[in-house]
Amino acid sequence: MPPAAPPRDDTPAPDRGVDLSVEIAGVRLPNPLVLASGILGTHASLMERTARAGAGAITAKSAGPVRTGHNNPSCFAIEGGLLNAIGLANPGAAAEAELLAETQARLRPLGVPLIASIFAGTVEEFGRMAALIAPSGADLLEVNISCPNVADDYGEPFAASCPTAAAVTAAVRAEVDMPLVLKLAPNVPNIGRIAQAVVDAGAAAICAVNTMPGMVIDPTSGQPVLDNRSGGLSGDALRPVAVHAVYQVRAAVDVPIIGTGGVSTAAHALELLSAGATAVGIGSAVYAAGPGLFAQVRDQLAAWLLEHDLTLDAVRGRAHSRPTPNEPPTPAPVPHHVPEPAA
Amino acid sequence: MRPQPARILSIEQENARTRTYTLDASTPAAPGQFAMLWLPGLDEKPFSLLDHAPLRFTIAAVGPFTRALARLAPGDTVWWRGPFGRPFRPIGTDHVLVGGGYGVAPMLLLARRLRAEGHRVRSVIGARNAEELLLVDATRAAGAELHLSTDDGSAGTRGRVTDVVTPWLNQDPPDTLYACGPHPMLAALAAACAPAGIPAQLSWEAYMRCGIGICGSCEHDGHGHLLCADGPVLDHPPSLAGDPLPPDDHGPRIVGVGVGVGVGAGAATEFSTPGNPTTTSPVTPSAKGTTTPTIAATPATTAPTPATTATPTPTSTSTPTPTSTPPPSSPADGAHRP
Ligand SMILES: Cc1cc2nc3c(=O)[nH]c(=O)nc-3n(C[C@H](O)[C@H](O)[C@H](O)COP(=O)(O)OP(=O)(O)OC[C@H]3O[C@@H](n4cnc5c(N)ncnc54)[C@H](O)[C@@H]3O)c2cc1C
Ligand SMILES: Cc1cc2nc3c(=O)[nH]c(=O)nc-3n(C[C@H](O)[C@H](O)[C@H](O)COP(=O)(O)O)c2cc1C
Ligand code: FES
Repeated sequence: MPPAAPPRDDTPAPDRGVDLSVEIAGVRLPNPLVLASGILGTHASLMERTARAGAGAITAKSAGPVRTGHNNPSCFAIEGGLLNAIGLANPGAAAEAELLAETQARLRPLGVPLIASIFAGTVEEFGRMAALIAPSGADLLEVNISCPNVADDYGEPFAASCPTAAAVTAAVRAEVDMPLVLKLAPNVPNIGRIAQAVVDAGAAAICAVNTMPGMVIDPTSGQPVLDNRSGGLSGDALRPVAVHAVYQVRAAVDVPIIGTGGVSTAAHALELLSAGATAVGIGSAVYAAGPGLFAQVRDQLAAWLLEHDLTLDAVRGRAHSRPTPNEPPTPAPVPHHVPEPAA
Repeated sequence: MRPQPARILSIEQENARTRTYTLDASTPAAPGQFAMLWLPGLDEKPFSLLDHAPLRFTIAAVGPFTRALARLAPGDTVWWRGPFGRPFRPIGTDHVLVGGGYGVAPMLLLARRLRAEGHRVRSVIGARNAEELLLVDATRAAGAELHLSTDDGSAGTRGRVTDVVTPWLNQDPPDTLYACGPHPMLAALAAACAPAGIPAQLSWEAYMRCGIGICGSCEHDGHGHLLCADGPVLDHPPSLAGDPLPPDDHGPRIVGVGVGVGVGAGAATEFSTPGNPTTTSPVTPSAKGTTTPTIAATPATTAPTPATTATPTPTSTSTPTPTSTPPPSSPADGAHRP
């Protein structure tokens, strides 16, 4: 007999004291839902809007050397997700620092922390960008070493190997005191090893994952639809990849993980939390639902925890231990012996 | 949705640099919505729907992309995705519609819809000179009371559209004013409507990338309005007294009513369900205290929207907890995705 479910009650869950707050490198988030980098992170107004709409932390769009980004089409919806090659359009790290300072002034009264995000083309440049961003007063610094949307000289190489990932981390570590979140790529043989390398080099947390490289070709013209030809796949299609990546990272290191990829419901968030994430990034799902999605998922999550009498601590990483049922495991079914037909 | 190919059925030359393109494709849509047009190898740009069944656009050649469109001929292919954005949301039965430059395009579709409901429509078309005036005959044919204005007086009233509209606002006020055109024109109209207490719905432009409300490129006013998702049509004054930020507590946003794009729950207040042409409710209180049906998105004849398919939510399999109440799933889960 299953134990009786906790009593139901229609009071909104937050009023009944479900503690959704989590901590990442000493920074308190009122709830574990984080706006992912590159979604609505271009303007202070949009970041404030998303914080008011229920996000537990806001990640700004990645900034680095000034880039105008790729031509359109640069982002569109497909079955099961989005494909984008925005191309890290950004006003440069110096202008970004001002934007972040303004954003921080708007977010502070709301109690929602701000995560800055940087990218660069060389190890040394990562250090310089970090130094430009540090005075902005952001709470955490996410280091994007995993964007698939820029040509070979940017992004992918850093997240693709342990030595480069560690070198970037160390270079940024040497420049700034802010806690570092390293944002990793899903398309590596073993993301756990990359995570280990960046944590050894000074990362305080991991964000997993960035988009998966992808291409959509228009069958009529035979041309790739993205002007950049290839781009990054996000949304529903990415979720199993993200869940697996978080599982691997949690198995390798013991730092907080922002699990990101394909989350649009509390059920999805629970998958990533169970795999070992402390917080959950949401990006593409904002497309269909608008920023109001954050409050929805937050309240669903609180209600679910209440109903199952569980805490976020209890949920985190559950997937790593198998349940111990009372019954001995059912043996694998024995295949029926099919007699060979007589020749 | 990804860009869909469509043949150009016909092209009409409107003036020296503006042509109207009729495509071999249709989609349910409402006046004020836009689509992204793509030419492979070149670019993808936003354009208002002049009509939706079939799709029609009135486009001025002003730069590389629009000049490339101007070199196309009937039979050539262009790619489109959409419709996107929040359309006009008519209030009342007495309407003033103002179009400046190619901003006339969405106003014509709106005029047709409002006239079909039997409403009073005063259409104002403005331009620099007579040669630049667009869609004049079509607007007259739609049954609107037509008023022209040109900067040089070569047709209609000499001056700006505000010179035509402002006297009406006190002497013969409409329930609502709607406008699309250059930003200074929109700002002048907003400033004229405010003291008269006339609600205005204005269609603005901003640089668009995704067109679907996630990249942030089209942030418009410093208050977090995204023109591709919260606009392009915005209320003036903003409907939220006291809070300049857009509301995020009213369910999924409209992500279009086009082929392969589901209709969010939030769309129900502005659109009828595609495939139900007769639905014109719910009603919106008018400024004069009467009620009037909102304009419904008319279903396309040639490209019906497939029923929104709800992706099954991953549920009870996930937890070892024996009380397996399924984890909650958002209404946004699957149901509103293409
Ligand atoms: C919601 C909306 C509806 C529009 N409807 C129409 C219409 O019905 N008819 C019409 O002729 N034009 C319309 N436009 C304007 C049209 O998008 C631009 O004229 C077109 O993008 C110009 O591209 P180009 O390469 O020819 O010129 P460019 O030289 O590249 O641009 C000329 C100007 O167009 C604007 N523009 C360029 N790219 C974009 C972009 N990606 N997003 C938004 N604006 C851009 C900029 O203001 C720029 O200064 C609309 C724009 C918006 C935002
Ligand atoms: C339009 C778009 C832009 C993005 N830009 C960035 C970026 O600038 N920096 C970054 O680290 N990740 C960026 N990402 C990746 C997201 O932060 C996120 O890791 C990924 O989309 C997976 O989450 P999702 O499925 O919830 O979208 C972007 C994603 C999208 C869809
Ligand atoms: S164009 Fe991307 S948010 Fe509007």
